[in-house]
Amino acid sequence: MSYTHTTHVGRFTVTDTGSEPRTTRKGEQAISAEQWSELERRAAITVLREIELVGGEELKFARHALLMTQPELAQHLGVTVETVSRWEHDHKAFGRPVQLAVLELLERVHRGEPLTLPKQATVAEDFVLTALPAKRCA
Amino acid sequence: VTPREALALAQGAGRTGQFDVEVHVFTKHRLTRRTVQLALMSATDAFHQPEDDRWRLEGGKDEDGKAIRVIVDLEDGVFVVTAFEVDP
Repeated sequence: MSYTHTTHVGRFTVTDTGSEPRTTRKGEQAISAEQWSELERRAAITVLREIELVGGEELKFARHALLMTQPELAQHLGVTVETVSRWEHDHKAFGRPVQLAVLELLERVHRGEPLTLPKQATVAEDFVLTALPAKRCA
Repeated sequence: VTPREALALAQGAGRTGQFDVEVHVFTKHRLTRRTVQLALMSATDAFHQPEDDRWRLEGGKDEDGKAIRVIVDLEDGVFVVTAFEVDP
């Protein structure tokens, strides 16, 4: 048995089928937080895949579907928290590469893959920075 | 279950994501699981409602700092979120 579940992803509405909710002692239909998460992830994946360029509301929903804070998403994308905040509040502040990077995170979580933080650039101890010679003016 | 125990259980359910939610709660509000989790985790008081044998959790906040009230049922050790109010 399945039921139809509607998720609002920012300005978009995604209809999906989920497994039958259980009936509580008081006769209400309920689903587990885990089932809810799966439906949210699927809805976010659908919107980020199908819509050419989503806006801040959809990006915020996607972050929620990843169960991440703004600092956590910022770390995964290699940007600052302020940047993520700006993306979520300003409709046209980010481009498709950001959307695809978030989509990839969602798909990895959906496949059950662990998310690892991107490697930070490091400088070896014996690395010597040499200034380029200044141009001489005639 | 005492109010203190109910509050601790609710905060634990928020941290671990071990809770259920009645379907009408998220069809009525544009809620995400994360918002409900934050509200459970940040709740500061629990009050028993004898009229329906449910618990009212107060003091919780969403990530934008808005006050959240959550009504939960404790069913065989599992929290079931039955109502959710923003800025109550």
